[in-house]
Amino acid sequence: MISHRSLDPAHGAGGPVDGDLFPDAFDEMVTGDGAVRSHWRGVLAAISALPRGALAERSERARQQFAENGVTYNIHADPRAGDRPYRFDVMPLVLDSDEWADIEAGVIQRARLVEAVLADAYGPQELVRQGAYPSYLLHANPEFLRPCRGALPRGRRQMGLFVMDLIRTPDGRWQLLSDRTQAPAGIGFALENRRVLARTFPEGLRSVTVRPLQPFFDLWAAVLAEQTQGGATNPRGVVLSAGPSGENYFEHIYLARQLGLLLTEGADLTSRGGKVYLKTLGGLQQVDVILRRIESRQADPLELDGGSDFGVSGLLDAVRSGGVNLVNALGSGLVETPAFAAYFPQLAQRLFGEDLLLPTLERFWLGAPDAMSHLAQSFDNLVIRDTCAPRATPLIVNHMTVKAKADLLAKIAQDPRRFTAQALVTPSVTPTWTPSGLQPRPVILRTFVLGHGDEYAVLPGGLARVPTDGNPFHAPLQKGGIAKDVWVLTSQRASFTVPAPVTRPELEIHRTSGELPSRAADNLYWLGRYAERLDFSSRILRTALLRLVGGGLGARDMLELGVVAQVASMNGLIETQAAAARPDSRMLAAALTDHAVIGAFAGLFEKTAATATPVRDRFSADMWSVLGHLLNDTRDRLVKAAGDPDRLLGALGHVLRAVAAVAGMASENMTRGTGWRFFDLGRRVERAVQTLMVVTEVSYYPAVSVESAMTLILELCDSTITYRTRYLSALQPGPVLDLVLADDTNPRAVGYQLVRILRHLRQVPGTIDTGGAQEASADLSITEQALAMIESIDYSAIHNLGDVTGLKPVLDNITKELQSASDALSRRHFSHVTQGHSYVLEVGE
Amino acid sequence: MIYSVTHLTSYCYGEAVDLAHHLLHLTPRELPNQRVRSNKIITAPPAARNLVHQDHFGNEVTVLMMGEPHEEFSVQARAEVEVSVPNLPRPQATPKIAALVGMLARGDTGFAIEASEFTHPSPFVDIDPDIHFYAAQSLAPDVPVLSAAFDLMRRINNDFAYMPGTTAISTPVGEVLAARAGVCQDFAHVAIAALRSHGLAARYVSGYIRTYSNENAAFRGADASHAWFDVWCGDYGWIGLDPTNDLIVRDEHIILAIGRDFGDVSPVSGVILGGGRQQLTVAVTVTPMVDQD
Repeated sequence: MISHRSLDPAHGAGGPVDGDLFPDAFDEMVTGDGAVRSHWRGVLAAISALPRGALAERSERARQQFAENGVTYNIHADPRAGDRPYRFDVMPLVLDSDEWADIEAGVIQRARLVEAVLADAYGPQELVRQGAYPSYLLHANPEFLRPCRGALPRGRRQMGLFVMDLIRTPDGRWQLLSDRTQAPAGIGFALENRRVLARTFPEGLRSVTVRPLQPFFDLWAAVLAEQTQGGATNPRGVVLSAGPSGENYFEHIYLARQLGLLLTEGADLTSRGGKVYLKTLGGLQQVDVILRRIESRQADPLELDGGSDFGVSGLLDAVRSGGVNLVNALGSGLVETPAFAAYFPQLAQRLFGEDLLLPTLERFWLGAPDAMSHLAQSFDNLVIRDTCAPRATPLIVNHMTVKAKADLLAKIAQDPRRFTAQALVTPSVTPTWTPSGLQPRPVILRTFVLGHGDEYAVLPGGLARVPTDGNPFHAPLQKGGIAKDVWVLTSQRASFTVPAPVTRPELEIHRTSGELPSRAADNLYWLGRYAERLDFSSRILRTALLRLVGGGLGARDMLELGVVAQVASMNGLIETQAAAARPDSRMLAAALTDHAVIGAFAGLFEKTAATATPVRDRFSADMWSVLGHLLNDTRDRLVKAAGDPDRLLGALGHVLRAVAAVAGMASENMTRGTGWRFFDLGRRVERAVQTLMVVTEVSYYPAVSVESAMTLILELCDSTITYRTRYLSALQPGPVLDLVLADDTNPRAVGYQLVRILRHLRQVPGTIDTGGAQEASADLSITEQALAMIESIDYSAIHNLGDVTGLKPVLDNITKELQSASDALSRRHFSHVTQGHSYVLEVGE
Repeated sequence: MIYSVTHLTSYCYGEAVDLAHHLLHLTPRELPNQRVRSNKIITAPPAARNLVHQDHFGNEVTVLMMGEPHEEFSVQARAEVEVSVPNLPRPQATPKIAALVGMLARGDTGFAIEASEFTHPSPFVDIDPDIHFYAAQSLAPDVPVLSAAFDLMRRINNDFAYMPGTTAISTPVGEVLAARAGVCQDFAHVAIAALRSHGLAARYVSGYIRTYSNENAAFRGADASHAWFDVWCGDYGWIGLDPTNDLIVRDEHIILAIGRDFGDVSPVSGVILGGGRQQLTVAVTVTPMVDQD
């Protein structure tokens, strides 16, 4: 006899098996008399063959891979809480082929039914008028979006991707727990689970024949591509995301890549004349298909929720005109209400004359006649759900205190229609790896159905989740829980049916990507600026700390520390008051190491992250992991070093190297397209501005010596070595300024930055429909003037500090020119990124 | 009675608007007692896109798009509408409230199911114990519905001060109830919330009321767009009541659009890009074409 327990000694620390917590649960792996079900034998054999402790090690490897790939759930409510790490179990949920065939038939029938119910609700509404389901489920349903009624042109589907959560009841039958029809998540996670598991537990996947997931995605990509009507050279589909702050942003990026779509946010799109366009630097590009990953209500501030910042004004107008196809259609969340499922058996009869193949977990809407007496009889064995808020946490009556039960009953009595009761059942349990070995844990199976034309395809697998908060009826992705891969076994060894390739017109070869969304260009530009600002700020602080930790401050150190403090305060790193304090004062020493300076850095990290995350889909996985290292590990190191100058120095070194790694990655791995140009433009503009600031501030410091001023300028501009190799001898202002201002072979010099900026500006595409034609070259001509000014300075005539300070007006002018060039650039390329605001005419005198 | 209606709305923007989408509910409805002889919507600048569709409630909706920068926007809606006096039942003859509430809750007939859509709270019509309490005095279960609705209308007209400028479209019913002041849409919302709080069906009607040149005879709300409510009276259908003027709707009201509340039928709304500060002018005239007085 094999049980979960018998596996423990070899593969975990051993420990209590709490299978008794779920006494009547159906066990996925073991039969009632203790035998292992045959479809589990392969994976168990593979585990048994692993060396002792291997499962723990594989779990850790999987965890690392998910972290490296940036798989996280965002926690919507609290931006500071950051991302929740993804929890994954290497132990899959295994299903045999017969059982799967039943599930497949059941979910396909249900998908047909959902489609028909939605088509009726947004069309003739015969079902509700004839009383086929209570009108409350439609009329009081916040997801019944009246403006969407009649909006879909004939022949368009309501639903592209259906999600159904199933649980297996103690009698061994899979039953429907919830329908998810809005913009359901999880399918990206399902594919990523398989990828990671294939790498971390290859023995398992070799031990049995598991149906592959990729063909489903290929089919989906092909179906989406077919729906693009541009047809010709550039069929265009986009993922419409709420952006990095939204839940499941990882999945949006992932799906965009997997399906060959462009990742966009509402601000990237515009609806004009019944069509939807992507706003790119090269102009407006039509979009044919939108994989909608935002709530319907947020999708169009014109006709739906006017306060939404995520949508596209006029989107519904474009849908109505057939100019764009949304997957899923707007308003599709309607059937998610848990009460709807109670009427599906009779709807299946009425619409198709069929019995439901996939039973619905028993439930009743409390607004129905007799429902209240039914409720009274079985209250303790029920789960109460909110009829109109399908994602609210279901209440397990059995788990409630006497008082809570009474309160709930009173609330229900006030308006029973607002609640739906569902039978309390024990979900099946499946072996799950825990630090104390394999343990049976309840599991929910999320399945995915693709609808296209009149056909349906089911992902042969899915996303299994083990709820961790004790409520098995509620496992939203972002609430945590443990994810598992789902293996659907097949007896056919080589059943890799590849769908027929879609004939697509041959692509024209071109070497530029004109479709850089304007918002992405904006973000890349500011990412460049913030990354460079981080670099400069680190150099400033390092220069100061090096003098601070050097032991007893000599006169010269004191002086130089005072100058750097000045520069640091100009940069917003420390308070002006602290910078003005005596260089050997405790106040300055504290300011340079305390939480305020760390806070300034944290602010920079935050801005860098805020500009990097929305364009994450533009970076390779390697580039992202380098950025991730900068934004997470490096930041953490710096934060932890607060108060300790020595550790701070070490941390600053890490920041500098991490920024250099990002720059190096960009320089070696990003194609020289528009995206790269904007990123580099940002870095160049920032470096020029910072260098000019250093030169003027340092030489303006009262009582500074030439020696000290030049030392600091070279140090802050990272040009010390170049100077030494070039001039060997003493520091003289003429050669130093030539090196950091004019020298176009020194990548730290202002002149070098200006040359690069000009080159970029000549290459980036022109402006679009903003009426800014006369501005088109303002940034260019301003930069040209700045370069001319830098070059017109006679560096050989600079002999002393007085000559340097005499340059201040010129240098200040150049800084101003650069700022206005940056502004002109923003106006030219980014201004139309702004979102509109909705208005409603006040009426009724 | 035949009316000529002119409704002019114009915006003067502080800065150019680069892109604008507008949603108009400005076309009078075809109804048993209302025939639209002609209607026209003219905008300046002319819209790059002008598309008309019928919404869920049967109202005609116009979607406009303007893609060129513009500093002014005006929309002029003109119509000729023929209105006849509906067959109004004797209030005492209408069904008792209890009977209607039961029909609506059970969805006894297709009509009751359709009307039940207007029994639920909606975005601008919250229902709370206060409004239920206020309404209870008028809405006893054994009173015929129209008598009760009349009483409710009269009380709102008496209890609430007509004070333009004190409320905004977003003022919740609860606040209007507490302040006992507002304008036509507030009174309509209060009445609707009151009726719904007792399980009755009530809907929001947007439109115009006849303009009299004589100030003494003038109706409130006559030089802007107006609003009132319909109450469902079972077999007698929907009957309109105007709490702002304490008036049953006969042939001096012109119906533009019908919905659950203001949000479903706002005459002019939209999303604009740019614009800065804006100045708004609205002018409505409703004149009888054949003076029968």
